[in-house]
This record gives sequence, C-alpha cells and structure tokens, in this order.
Amino acid sequence: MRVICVTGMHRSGTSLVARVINLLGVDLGPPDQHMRAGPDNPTGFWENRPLSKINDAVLARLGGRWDDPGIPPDGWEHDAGLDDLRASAAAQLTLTFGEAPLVGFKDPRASLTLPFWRTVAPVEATVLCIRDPADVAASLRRRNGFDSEHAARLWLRYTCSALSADPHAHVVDYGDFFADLGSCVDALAKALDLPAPDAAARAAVAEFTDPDLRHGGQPPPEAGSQQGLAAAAYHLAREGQLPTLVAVARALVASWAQEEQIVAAARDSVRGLAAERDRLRDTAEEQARRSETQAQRQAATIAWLQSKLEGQRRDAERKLEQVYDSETWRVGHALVSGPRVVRDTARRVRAGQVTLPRPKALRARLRRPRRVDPRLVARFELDDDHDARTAYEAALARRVFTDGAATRVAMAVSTLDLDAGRGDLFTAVGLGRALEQAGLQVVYLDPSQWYDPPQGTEVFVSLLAEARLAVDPLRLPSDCVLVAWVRNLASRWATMPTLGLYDGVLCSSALSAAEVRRSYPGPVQLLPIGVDPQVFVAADSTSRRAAVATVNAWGSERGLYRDLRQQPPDFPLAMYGRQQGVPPELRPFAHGPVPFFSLPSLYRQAAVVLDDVQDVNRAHGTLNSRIYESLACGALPITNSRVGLAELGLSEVPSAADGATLRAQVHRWLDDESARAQQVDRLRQVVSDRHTYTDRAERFRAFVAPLLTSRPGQRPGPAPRVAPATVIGFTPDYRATNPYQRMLYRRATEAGVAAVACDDPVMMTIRCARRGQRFVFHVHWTATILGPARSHIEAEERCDRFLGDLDRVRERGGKVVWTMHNVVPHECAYPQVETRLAQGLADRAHAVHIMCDATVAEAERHFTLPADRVHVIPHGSYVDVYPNVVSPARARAALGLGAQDMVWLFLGGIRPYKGLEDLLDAFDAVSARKPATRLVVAGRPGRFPGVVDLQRRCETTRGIVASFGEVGDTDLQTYLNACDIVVLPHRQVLNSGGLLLGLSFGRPVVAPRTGCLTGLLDPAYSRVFEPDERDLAGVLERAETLRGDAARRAAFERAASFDADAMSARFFELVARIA
Amino acid sequence: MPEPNARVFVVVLNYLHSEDTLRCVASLRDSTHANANIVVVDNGSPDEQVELLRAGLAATTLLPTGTNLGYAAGNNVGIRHALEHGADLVWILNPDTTVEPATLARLVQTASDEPDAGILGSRVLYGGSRPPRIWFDGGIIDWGRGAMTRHRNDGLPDADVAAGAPYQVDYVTGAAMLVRRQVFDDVGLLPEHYFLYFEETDFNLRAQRAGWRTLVDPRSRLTHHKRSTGRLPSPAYVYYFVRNRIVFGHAFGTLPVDDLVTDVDEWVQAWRAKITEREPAWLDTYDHLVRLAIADARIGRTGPREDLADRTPAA
Repeated sequence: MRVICVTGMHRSGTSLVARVINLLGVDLGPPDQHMRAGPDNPTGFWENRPLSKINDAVLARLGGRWDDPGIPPDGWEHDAGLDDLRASAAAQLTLTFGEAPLVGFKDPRASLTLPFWRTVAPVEATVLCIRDPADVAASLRRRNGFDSEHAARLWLRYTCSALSADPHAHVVDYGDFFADLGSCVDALAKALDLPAPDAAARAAVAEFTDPDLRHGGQPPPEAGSQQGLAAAAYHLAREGQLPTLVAVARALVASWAQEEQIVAAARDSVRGLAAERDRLRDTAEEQARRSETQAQRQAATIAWLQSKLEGQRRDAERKLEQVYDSETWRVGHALVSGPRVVRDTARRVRAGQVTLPRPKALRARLRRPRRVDPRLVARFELDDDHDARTAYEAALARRVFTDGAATRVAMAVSTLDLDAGRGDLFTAVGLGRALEQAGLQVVYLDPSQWYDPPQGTEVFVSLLAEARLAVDPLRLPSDCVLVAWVRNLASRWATMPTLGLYDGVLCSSALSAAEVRRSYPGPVQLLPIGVDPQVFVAADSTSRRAAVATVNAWGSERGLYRDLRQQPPDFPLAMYGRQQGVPPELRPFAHGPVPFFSLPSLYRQAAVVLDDVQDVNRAHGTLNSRIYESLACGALPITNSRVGLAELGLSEVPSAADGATLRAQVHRWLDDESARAQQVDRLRQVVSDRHTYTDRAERFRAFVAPLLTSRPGQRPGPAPRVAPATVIGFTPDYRATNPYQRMLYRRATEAGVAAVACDDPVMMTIRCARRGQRFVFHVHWTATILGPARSHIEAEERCDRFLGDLDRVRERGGKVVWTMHNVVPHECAYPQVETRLAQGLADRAHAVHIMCDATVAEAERHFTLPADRVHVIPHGSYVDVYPNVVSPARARAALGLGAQDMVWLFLGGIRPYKGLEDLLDAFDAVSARKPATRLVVAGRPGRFPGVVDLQRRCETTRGIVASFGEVGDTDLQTYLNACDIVVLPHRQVLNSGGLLLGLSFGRPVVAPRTGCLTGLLDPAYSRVFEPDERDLAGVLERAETLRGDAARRAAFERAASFDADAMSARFFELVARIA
Repeated sequence: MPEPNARVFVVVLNYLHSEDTLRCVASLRDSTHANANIVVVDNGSPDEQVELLRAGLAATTLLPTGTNLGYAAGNNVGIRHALEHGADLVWILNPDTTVEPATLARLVQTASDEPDAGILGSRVLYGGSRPPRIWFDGGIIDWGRGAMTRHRNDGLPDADVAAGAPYQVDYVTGAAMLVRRQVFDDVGLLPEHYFLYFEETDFNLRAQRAGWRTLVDPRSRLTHHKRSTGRLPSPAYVYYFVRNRIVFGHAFGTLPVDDLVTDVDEWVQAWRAKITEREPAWLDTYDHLVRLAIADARIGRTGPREDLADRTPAA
C-alpha cells in the first residue's frame, strides 16, 4: 500500500488538492466517511472523518487542539502513551482502504501529527498546501473570529511542522491552481509519480476548481510579528527556497519548544507561588487573630491600669475636698492670705488702680445672702455598699463551669473592673446573679477572653455593639448558642453585618425589637434591662431632699445640659459623675464621681432623680437602668423621653421636655412630699413586680430553652446549635436598590438559613466551618467583579483572584451558587475576561440558578454551562413588592398627560442596549399619524457616547415626557399607572424583570422575542417583535388594541401567577440539596 | 422604626357588597401617602360579586377565602400577606368606609411622631349625615358596667368638637385601625375565636398589655357609610354581641361571669322593649338567642354558629 498524505494549514486548499489527487487515481476511502460539505467549503472537504478524529485525539493527548496545538517534546511520536491510538489508526487504515494499492488522506491536522502516522504506516509522500497567510487569516476571521496574529501563528505552526516532518514534501500554492490549473495538476502527478491525467480527469478537475470560490487578495499583513514571519515564510516557499524554509521551520519549531518549556516552568512557579500565597494567607489570618487577642488583652490591662489610676485620682480628689471643707483649711487659708490681700488692695487703691465701692453698695453686697437652697442642706453622704460589692466580686470570680445539668452561660462584657463604671458589666452581673439563683452557671468574659470561653459554654451572650467592642460571631466556638442582648444602640445592632449569625436576639424595648426584626430573621424577644433587688433597696425611713443626676462620666454636650442651663444658680440639684466635659456654667452643680455601689445610698437620700436619655436611644425607647434603680430606692425619676415607658407599665413616671418643665416638675415633687411618696410607691410596686432581674432571668431562660436542644446521654457536653445551620454569603449586596435579593431570600428563616452580605467568602467559609455551619457563597451580578479594573491586566488579575477564591471556598467545604442575571454583563470593557470569568464560575458552581430554559442556549454562545448543575427557578413577579396605590387619573395628572392620550412607557436605566433610539424613531412615525400619542421616558441615563443627544431628542420631541433620574420605589407606580402600554425596545435581553414589572402593575407590554421573555408573552396582553424587527412603529400601532381593562387584568393575573414566595421556597430547596 | 414615609398595606375585607369595597378602594387611590398597597380579601361572597370585584380592582391584589371566615380570620388573610410583603403599618379598613386624601398621611405622621403608639385610629363620621356627625372619636370601655363599650363624642356634630392633638383611648374601632407591624409580632394577629364583635377590642387590650399605646388622631378623618340597621336586630347581632361581651369581659375584666350576665341585661332589656313594641311575634326567638348566647358564654363556647340564619325575624 502506497500512502500519500496531504498536509497544510487550514483554509489553504488541502480539500482541493485531495480531490485533485483523488481524480488522479488516489483512493480517499469510502465517500460516506468523508466530512460533509458546508457553507465554508461548498465543494466538500474530502477529509476522512475517522482518521481526522484520530488526529484530534493525538492532539488532545499532546495537550492541545487544532487551534491551539501544544509543542510536544522530541520523539513524542514513539511515546508508549500513544500506543492505543496507534493501534486504532492502523485498524482504521485497514478498514478504510482495505487492500487498495494507492491511498491518500487529507487533514490539515496531519501537518502536526505526520510523525505519528509514519509510526503507523509508511507514508510515501506528502503534499504541502500553502496559501497567502493574509488570505488564510481573513478566512479564519470570517469562520472562527480569530485575530490576525493568532491566524499567522497557526499558519507558521502548521506549515513549519509539516516541512520539518517532511523536508521533501511537494509544495503547492493554492493560488496557482486558479492561475494555471493544467501545469499545477501535471506537476502534482509528476511529483507523486502518478500517471499523467487524461482528458476526462482534466475536465473533472477543471469543473471542480471553480474560480468563483476563490477568495483572496487580502491587504498586506499588519505589523504583528507572527504575520510578518508568516508572510516571509510564504515568500520563501513561493520562491522555491525550500532548504532555507526547512531550516527556518526547524529553528522555529525548536524555539517554540523552548518557549513552551519556559511557559510550563512559569506555570509551575505560578502554581507554587499561589500555594505559598495561600499558606501565607492562612498563617497571616492565624497571626492576625492571635495579635488581635493579644491586643485585646493589652487593652484590657491598660483599661485596668487606667481605672486603677482613676480610682486613686478619685481618692485624692475626695481627700482634697475634705481638706478644703475643713475648718482648719478655711481659717488657715484666710490667715495666710488675708493680710497679703489687704496689703495688696491698699497699694492698688493708693495707686488709683482700684476704686473702692461706695459704702452703701458695699453694704448691700455684703448683705446679699449666698443663694443656696435650704433643701440642699449638705452634700449627700455616699456610702459604698460593701456587701453588694463583695457579692459582685464573687460573681466575677468564676472562671470555669462545674459539671452538672445547669445551663452554662458566658457573658461578653467590656471589662471585669467594677470601678470602671461600665453599665454593661453591672447589667450583666445583675442578670447573671439572678440566673445563678435560678440554678444556672454564669461566667463573665472581658474582651481578651471572649474568643476562648470556658469549656462547656452553652449560651454566649453578647452585650455590646460599639465599633471596637462588638463580638465577632465567626470567631466563637461553634458549639454554643449565641444570643445578642440589644440593651441600647438598636440601630447599630440592626445594621451589624454579622447579626444574621446570632441564634437569637433579646431587645430592651418593643421599638428596638422592631428595628432589629427588619434586618434579622431569627427569634427576637423582649428582655428589658432591670434592677438588682438585693442591691437597690429603699430605706425604711429617710428624710429626702433635692434632685440628683447620676452618670458614670458626663462628657460632651447632652440634652440635660441644655435644660440645666435654663435653671437658676440655686436650682436644688447635685450632679454626680466624672466631671470631664461638664461645661463651666454647670460646674457649680457638679459633685464628682459616684461608684455604682454608692448609688443606692444616694438614691435613698434624694427625692428626685433626673434621667437623661441620650438621643441615640430615645427613638427606640430603651430605658436607662436609673429609672428602675431610683424607684427601687424610693426616689422619683423625672425623665426626658416618654418613649418606652408605657410598655413597661411606667407611664406615670414624670417627664420634662424642656428646661421650664423640668424646673416645674422638680419643684412640684420637692414641694409635695406626700404626693411624691405616693407616686413612688405605686411605681416602685411595678418595678418590684415586673422589672427585677429575677423576672428577667425567667424570661431569659424561657428564651434560650428552645435554642438549646438537649441530647440525652451526652450531657454534660454542650448542646448543638439549632439555627441557622446554613449561612448564605451573597455578593454583591444590591438589596437597597433592587428588590430581587430581598424577594429571593424572603423564606430564609423558615429554611434555617441566615443570608448575609459577604465580601470575603474564603474567610467566611473558614469561620463557618469552625462553627460547624454549612456555607454557601452565592454570586449574583458579576459586573462588580471586573468592573473596577482599569486595564486588561487588572481585569485578568481580578478574574484570577475571584476564581481562586472560589477554589479556596470549595477546598474548604463551602458551596458555590451562581444566579445568572446576565450571560455576560451588558456593558463590559473586557468581554473576553468576562467570558472567562463566567466559564470559571460555571465550572466551579455547585448550582447555576437560571430563570428559564432559554438561558442555556444564550449562554452556550459564550461559554458552556454544566447541564447537570443547572436549575431553573423563574423570576417572581413584583406584585405588592413596590407600592401601588396611585390611581391612573392621578398619575396622569402628575405627569401632565391627558385622560384620553395613548401613553407608551419606557422605564428604567438608559443604556445603549436598551434600544431607546429605535423607540424614538418608531414614536416619531406613530405620533406623526396620531397626535394624541405620548411617550413617557423615565430612568437614569448611563454614560455612553451619544447619551446627551438622546436626552436632548427626548426633551425636544413633541409628545415625549422625559424624566432623567433614578426612579424611586414609590414613584414607579406613577409612571406605570399613567401608561397604557409598557415598551421594552431591547434587541437583546436575558431575564424578564422589566417585563414582569409591567405585568405586575397590570400593564400590557410590547417586547422582543428573546431570552426568558419568549415564554412569558401572550397575545392577551402583549405584542411581540423579533429582535431583528425593523418596523417597530408598525408593532406599536398593532399593539394599540391592547388598550383596555381586559388586557390589563390578563397581564396582572399572569404576573400574580409568578409568586415571589414560591420562588424563594424553591431557591431554598435548591440550597438544601447542595448544602 | 416607622417614618413619615413608612410602607402601609391597606387591608379591606369584602363581604357581599362589592360596590362598597370598590368605592372604598377608589377613595384610597386618591391618598396623598403614596407608599402604600391595597389588599382586598373576599370573605366568601357569591361568584358574581367576586367577579365584579375582580373587574373593578384591576391590578390590586384580591385574596378570596372561599368561605366566610368572620371578621378576624378574613382580615388575618390580608394581614399575613401584608407582613410577608414588608408592611411597616397595616391599615384595617371596613369596606363601607371612604377616606379623605390626607387621612392616611396624617395617621402615618402620627405613628412616626408617637413611636410607642401601636394602634392608631381616626375620627369616623356618619355617612350621609348633615351636618356631618361623629360616629367614633375613640373607644371607651366601661368596666363598671360589664365591659360596656361606647364611642366617644358619638352623634356630636363634627364641627363642634375641635380636632386637636392625638389622645389615648381604650380602643380603636375595627372599622379603621392602623396597626404597627411590631404589634402583630408581639401579640399575634386578630383573635379569631369571637367570629363577630369584640375582636378588635380584645386585640387593642392585648396590645396595651404588651406596652403599646392606643391613640386616636381626630385630625385624620373618614366616613362610615353604615347600611340601615332596620327596625329589629339581626339574630347574629343579638347572639354574638351578648356572647362575646361576656367572653371579652371575662377575659380582661375582674368580674365573675354572673355579674357580667347581669350587666349585659341592661342592653338585652332595651332591645326587648323595642321588639315588644315593633314585632312581638319575634320575642320568643329573641329570648332564645339571648339564652343561647349566655349559655355558650358560660361554657366558653366561641367561634361561629351555623344555626342562626333561620331565626331571622319575619319583618
């Protein structure tokens, strides 16, 4: 068997040459094995499919493919790894050609695989087809969309490989066949030692070689290096400089091999670097955690030292005050300074520097009494309650839990220093002592101990929301129930990104609970702060006087200062608290700090206690403990906010909204002791019945009980977490402006899932894994991933980083879900990178959530979706998602539209792909014929060339009402209810959000037959145009029949059938399956 | 935290008279508070009434229950829908009312100004009265007379009673009641066991026990187009009013049931005198209904009774 092989670059005439040698008598195998003719090769390929498949397999084994062949090492053709293909190839040759004496096969890939075929059968001769590389490039651009450099590189690769493999190949130029067919055929026959063609064969060849099929005459190559090289090589071949070309080919092949080695080595080192980066990142995370813990320990030590110093300073102040108060000092001071003052004054009077007051005025001044209220007869005696202090110190001393069935509670507080005056500590110990009395075990942790709670902790209570003092739930052990106690700062708690990771939230007031519930899906219950009934006790009988105001530290401007500035100097008030920040004019009222354990003694002496609710807490009605504590000791609080009093049964607590009312209230209650005492008695009863920590302990136990699941036989081990078992971290967070995510996650709580926005999926995976929670990283719109990139390289880097993160999430057990809102973003600077990103995401996603089947076909034009991981969950409608109360008549009036006008609506962001320009053209045509036609254009324009002209055109066209700005949620109804028909003039759109929005307001639509819209369009409420429709005006005119109630009702009912709740439920079923 | 622009869902419970509901919805559509949605629940009206409603409502959510669930359970269907769709406030509105454009906006502003007010009501005027007269200006419960309820300023000319700042009341009428989302979270939805009458009173008191204030803002006004009540009370009115007043009084008051029965007798006798005069033949049925109501109240039987319709007076 003689074997002839036709090689050469694709699109270089290999098919033509194969057919010619076939007509010269070479058997190309049975025609049914030949590849069928196609539009890109109408006279047929004359290529044997089974043999081409073997070529593909060989290329794949070498790590490449036809358009991106790898560079195999020397001697690759003898590799044992190819033996199976070798056997297949031999068998296929026999099957194809049988005993035929002269056979041939053609396949451009054989240019690369010729050495392999030589190990299968003796290839007697090869014919190498060449063609001007510029023409080849043009052909490949048309057929495959390749750029010229890529095409030239392939041309070189194919041609040089074929020449290297057979330096004696017969080279034919595709162009020559059309210039002088006869000579070419004769030369070919001669070179292959074939009989000269007879007349019939010549006629057949001539018929086959249709000059019309020749494309060529491309302009000279551009400056690209590969294109220049290919052109030079082609020139050498044309000139018959074959030995030179062979030498060049060999050199090129060798250089490619070297390049390949370098690239392979570079890839290896990139992989190594990535691994090293991951290792370093993990180490850094660990170190950061350790440093943070260490820093917190140091901060705690510093805080302790500061508080100690503060204590010493307070002692010193107190001693100094005692000295100043003493008779010894007063007398001594006067004795020491008196003669000097007299001497100095006399001297200044003599010198005329001072005028002595006239005797009458002097006498008057001397007679004026010092304005001190008789009720404030003396300073209050502060008496530290040592028993209480000892009891609190004992409570704080517990470091570990003992065995037993009692529930073990750890409370995260800001400090364990009882002299630091921190409210959270006293609140925690107040509740904790009541819990201990109810049989639970409680430990208190300062920030240095938070993340290392004692063995066996079952309930971890977080009390703080301040910026640097908030517990990070992800750093806590997974095996304890995590409870937040929102005592104050409700807004800050509600916006805490990690609140969703708590198992339950306790709130101090109904309004704070409402605030928390807006963002937190789990259990929320009321647990106001309370009073320790063993510490705050009224005395049997005391004479009470004056008003006091107590705080830990006064600090900068606050509401009470404003009210006190309006009081006279003899206002019967003593302010206790660290004085830093007290304005000079109020200093006369200030009396220095009061320790927590001295408060009961103070409240037992005072008649009235002024309570100052800070503005941040006023809105949520979270009361100060001072209200309960003063009442428990028999003093009447006067507060400055009524919010939150009623729900606690304390409506009768007096309040003052301004300085005048405050003065009136204080005097009212100071002047009528019996009324004051009665008022206090009633309120004190409410406090002792409802607001002691004994009551709070019961509520606390009732709240945590269902969160703790008992595991018989496994105690005293800690109880497992109940919920949420799964955490969804999603990106980007568009909830503020787009309701889709809110709709999709609506049923999260029922599904036992916490959905939180997530910037760092890797960190979140690690931490969730530590806590035994399943983590699902949910990717929505991908535009934000590459969007910030300022260059192609940066886009590539961002893509790599994101895909690398996905890999790390997967390696650590996290799952990835991708909700496809677009195939690739509509407007992107780097479409190739976006496509790579999409493919990478599709490859890594455990589930790809699409909204209709059509998405698959749309996506396939750019990348491949994993068929087994694609899940269809249709887009829910917007019925009752946006406000809808405004009547059409009011809406039209608001936009200046007439009741009888035919109104079209274009709604939403203005972008090039939205087709607004087409709509304006169509509107011009329609409105010319029907003057009572109006078009409303509402949406924020993007930045793109021509946008200004587009806006100007809208503003100047008669009949158009334009509003260029963000359309707020509440304003949507005005536009939608004002219109008759919504138009979506897009040429390309994937999902159906815009369509469903129109239907949800009962508005018929004109929309393209594309993407997910196709399945939603029904003649009862829509008119459809094909994406390539030219006559949009005609479509609009035909759509006018949709005006009216029947189409509106049909549209609305269709929307109502796409229930957003059902969408959410199906999504969480999917999450449950993959998580 | 509700703000002046809080999201409101208006729940209108339709039963039989769809034209009333459509009139109410039409008046709502002129409201100046635009951050709102309307939900109509049909409580088992005949099909033709539902179709009339469906055609008239266009793109407004209609939730048919299929059967008459009573005032509370019917409204609860709409309330649930509202809460699931993110309502900050739910306005429960009788279908036989019409509102003024500013009615809702005023109430929402008050809800914003008074954050611990859980339930808010409006001044409600009699429909068709000239000059306009007040039907409801706040609910008063007279515990000294067996939980007798009455309306503040009932019958007074609207012009004679100044509409000042909001004030606290014992309860807000269920005909027009704006409820903060948090109240439902705290005390649940409307109690369904009464079936008719006293549900809203019960709900108001439970909200107050949870610490919420109940306010009426007389600057917010609407009209209640009550249908003519006829010369005689309906059997349902007699039965449910008597039974539920005792049930309610027992649940929230301190008096024993016997005392509540004695207290309700004043009401029973007043009607009895009218029936004796107008339709003596129906007197036995009336007495039977009262006995049945008291007996059911004593044994704690609540919910609907199916056997009342055939006791309608012939007149």
